[in-house]
Amino acid sequence: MNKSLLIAGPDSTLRSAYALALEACPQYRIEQLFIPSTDYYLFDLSGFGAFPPSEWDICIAVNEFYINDVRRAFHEATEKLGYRSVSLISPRATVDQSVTIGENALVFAGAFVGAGGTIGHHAVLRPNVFVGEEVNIGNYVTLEANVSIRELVRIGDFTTICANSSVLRATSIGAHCYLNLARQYMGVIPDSTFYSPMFENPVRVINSFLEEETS
Amino acid sequence: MIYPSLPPACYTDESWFERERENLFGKHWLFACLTQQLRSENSFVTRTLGGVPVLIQNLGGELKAFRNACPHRAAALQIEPYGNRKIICPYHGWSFDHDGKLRGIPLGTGYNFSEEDKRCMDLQPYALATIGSFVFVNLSETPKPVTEQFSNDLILLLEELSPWISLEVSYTTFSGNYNWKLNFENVAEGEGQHVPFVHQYSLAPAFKAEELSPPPPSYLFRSDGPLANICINKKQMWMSSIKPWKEEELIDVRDVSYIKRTALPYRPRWYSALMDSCDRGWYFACHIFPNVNLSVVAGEHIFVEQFMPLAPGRTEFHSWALSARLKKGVRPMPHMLWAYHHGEKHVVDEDIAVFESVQKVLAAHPENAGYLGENERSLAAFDRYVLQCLTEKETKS
Repeated sequence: MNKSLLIAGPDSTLRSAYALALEACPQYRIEQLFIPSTDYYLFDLSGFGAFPPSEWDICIAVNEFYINDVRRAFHEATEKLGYRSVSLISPRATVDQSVTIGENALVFAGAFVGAGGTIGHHAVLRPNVFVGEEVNIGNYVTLEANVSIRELVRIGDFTTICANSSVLRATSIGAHCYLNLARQYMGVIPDSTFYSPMFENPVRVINSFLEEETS
Repeated sequence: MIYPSLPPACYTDESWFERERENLFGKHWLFACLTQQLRSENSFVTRTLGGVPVLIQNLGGELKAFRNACPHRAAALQIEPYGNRKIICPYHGWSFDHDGKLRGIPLGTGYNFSEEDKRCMDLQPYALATIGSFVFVNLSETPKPVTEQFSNDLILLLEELSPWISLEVSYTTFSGNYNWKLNFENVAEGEGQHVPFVHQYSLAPAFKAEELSPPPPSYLFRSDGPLANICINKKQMWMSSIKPWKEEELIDVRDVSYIKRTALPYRPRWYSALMDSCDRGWYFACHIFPNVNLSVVAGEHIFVEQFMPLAPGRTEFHSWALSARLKKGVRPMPHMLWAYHHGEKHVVDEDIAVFESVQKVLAAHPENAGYLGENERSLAAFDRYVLQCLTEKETKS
């Protein structure tokens, strides 16, 4: 990579991703670019004008509350501008060589990822995440700090697991889940399940993939 | 004008609660679920309605309701709150056909049932009616037609609204230590009098009159549409349509489900362009007797709330959050419905804190449960109709 590296994003996660980039890629020129946004999805992309894709690769950092879909939208917006996305792995993280890592994944210090697994595109593993062997982590997944995932777990796209949670062996977690209670998760958790401190029982969205399935 | 409210015992005593189960929940049409939950063959919903376990299932494209109990050993035929599974008892594997008739018994010869024995082992059916996307069940053996419980206006509104509601639905339940009627009375207030006090920082700012600009045209209530002439008081949108009654007059059940509508300042959000709203710039609500509140905010946020009694002082709150119908090609947005649900729960928690304090006072048996004024006529009518049911007077039809 001869290009310089631009860390861009619409929220405060930008700073931690920039710090990670300084640590992970000390050989590159690295800049950070804050992208103003309104109502989650409306990005002001004019700041990119000073960073032509011919000279800059990009790593985006988005963490809009529980909306990992905003990361997807931001990624699609920057992809159209012609940037190549790169992943950042902290030198203080341990990722087994057999692990397949997608584009623009962020793996922070203290994370451990065991053999045989996959980390999807735009997945974020915050500090001290433990991932056992043969774990499949989908695209746009966020594992907050200190999450512990045991072997053979599957985590669907767009899912967020909140800090200090643990996921038992061979648990299957669907897509678009937001597990926002720090607890042990196990068994099968269907798509679009929302655990929240505000609700006694999980909140589930029914039919959210119906149109995709039928089309 | 002073209207009497229900005696405190109606909110706290086991004997009134039992009467309620029998005369009110046992004889009226009760909301059970949305058709969105029952779209595919064998999809089902389980509910406990008036203390009775009920299974509602899509069988061969038709929605049917049965007692959710196997005739063999009374095990629940479906255990999850909703899902997709054939009717096979999880306990001993007895299976039932689309009409609830016993189809097969594994290891059947060992039971040594005669054909005549088997004939009394069919599932107990209940009457089911759908109005648009809204599914109602009646536990009575001789249910009255649904048109005798709900006005034509309400039925028409539910039918016309339904095509504008999303297929995606966010659903959950939670509970509180209060009587279910406090919840219905709260939403049935004539003018939402509690809103500026209980929801000072949450709901009330949304209705601020000084921000009110002329609302955008409504599709649902357009002047040449089918709902142009339904009965909503045109002068004061909050007032329900019920007229004053004489002392000796009985309340008609069709008059204790209400429709309210009021203008609401409208600001488009990021999702507004992704959906087809039928009523931007307005808020309307249907309070559906006995225990459902349907709120439609700007045509974009649709909330269905049901207050299910578990005990005199305990209510299970069922909550469905939906959006307006999404435009074709819009990707799944569960996070949007959760944001809706979060907002709604914040408001509901403010209400529940009040209900729980009221319940404690009622449990201490004061002389009466309060006084109701003219702008609470809708609430007084509900109370009076409930009392009619509980004292088993014949209601006029």
